[in-house]
Amino acid sequence: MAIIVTPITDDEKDTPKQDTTDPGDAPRRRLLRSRNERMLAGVAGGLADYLNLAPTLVRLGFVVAALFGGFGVLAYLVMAVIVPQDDGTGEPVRDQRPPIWAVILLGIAILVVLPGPFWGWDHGWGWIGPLWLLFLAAVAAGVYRLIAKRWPWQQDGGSRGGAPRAGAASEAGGGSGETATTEIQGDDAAGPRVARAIALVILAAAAIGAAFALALFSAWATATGSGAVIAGVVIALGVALAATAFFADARRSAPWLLAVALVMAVPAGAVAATDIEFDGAIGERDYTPATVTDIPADGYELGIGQLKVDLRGLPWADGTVVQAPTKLGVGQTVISVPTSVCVVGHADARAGELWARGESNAGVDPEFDRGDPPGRAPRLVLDSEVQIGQLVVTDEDPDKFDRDRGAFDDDDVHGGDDAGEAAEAAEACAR
Amino acid sequence: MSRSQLSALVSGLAIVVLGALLLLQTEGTIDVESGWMLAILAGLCGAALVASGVGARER
Repeated sequence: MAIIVTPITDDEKDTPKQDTTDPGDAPRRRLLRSRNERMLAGVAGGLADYLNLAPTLVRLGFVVAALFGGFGVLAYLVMAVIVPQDDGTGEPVRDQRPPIWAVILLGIAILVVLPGPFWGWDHGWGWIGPLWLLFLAAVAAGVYRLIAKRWPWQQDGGSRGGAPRAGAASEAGGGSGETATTEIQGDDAAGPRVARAIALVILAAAAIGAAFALALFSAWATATGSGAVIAGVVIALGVALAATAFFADARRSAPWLLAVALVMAVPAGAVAATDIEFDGAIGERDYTPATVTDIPADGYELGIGQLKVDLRGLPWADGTVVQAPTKLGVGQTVISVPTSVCVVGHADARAGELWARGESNAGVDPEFDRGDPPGRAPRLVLDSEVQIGQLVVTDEDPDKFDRDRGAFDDDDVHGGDDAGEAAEAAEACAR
Repeated sequence: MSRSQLSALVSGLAIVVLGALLLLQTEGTIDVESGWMLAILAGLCGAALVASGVGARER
């Protein structure tokens, strides 16, 4: 147990003291993370000690539980965060932060588990995601501040925070020269410790999400022609980082400057190097032209999101040739045509999948090319580009597409019966 | 100059070079192929991280 050694005054000699060591008490069995029997965080070792089982057996239990939807992994991470570590004497190490890797992994798990609409990007509210993250981070930091009496980024003890450092001890002379042992200030209750750990995990989730959002923004800005601005910010961050070498007070900010610079520079560099460029618009676009003249000459364009072009309402007489160029940065394009329409032309992507009437090309730089067949079948001449994502050309209603599942509701379309639609497409082109 | 100061300086300069490279590429002044660009990115990021790691060890 962490203790502080402080001088005792004459008044204190006359008052009963709280001796927290309680040497006469029988040792209380507590669930702690083992200090000696550990492979990762000592959870299995501690649990084995608590349950009087062999550690290997408990580890095996976690592995088996991990096979059931990852429950074992999640349980291990949660325990690694909320169960305190043994200080070697059967007592918990006081005021110790949970393992940072477990906090980060749990934060990622939160981000993965959160439903898609949380991010807002599903509905074109690109700014909602970062705002939610900021809100989440502020709440988590506030909760941490209330419980731990210091901000999460503040060091334990010292003049910065309210709580003393774990395991800290100070010895002061003077007075009568006697010393007394008093328990460290702080909250030993499991509730606040668990709440603090949860706040820390939420904060990590918010930080990871914010880094992801910043990287995405950096890539998007570069792809939409604002790469010079991102480069300028990166250079400014580099200058600031180099300047910290000459200002001791600013040295603490160096890792943060480096992290932000890398989070911005790497995706921007990758986008610039691969020459990805697209329109800046974000969201979902639905187009349902009633006549061929309703289709704009330069086609339909979207930066990030879902582009749906429903051509089923056009008058598709025999010999009709329709061109509806589409260009998408990141996301999905769905073009719907009647079953009787023959799809020809060209489509390509930097990375992703092109699925045109049952024919699929996926991977890096996939292409779709189909020449004009003989006959007078009505035809759609594809001229589609997707930088990263998916192009779907189908005879289904584009609104049937289920974004969360990444497939149409009707299973016999995409992923269900590709051959069926491919046969229909071949029949349409053979007319 | 201490080792931590040197590491901050090196990682800062690496980031500046990274930014300059990014600026030249986006402005079309240079046209580095994607493979080389990614290799350069990785190298500069590595240098910055190693330099900051060395400084952190000393601190």
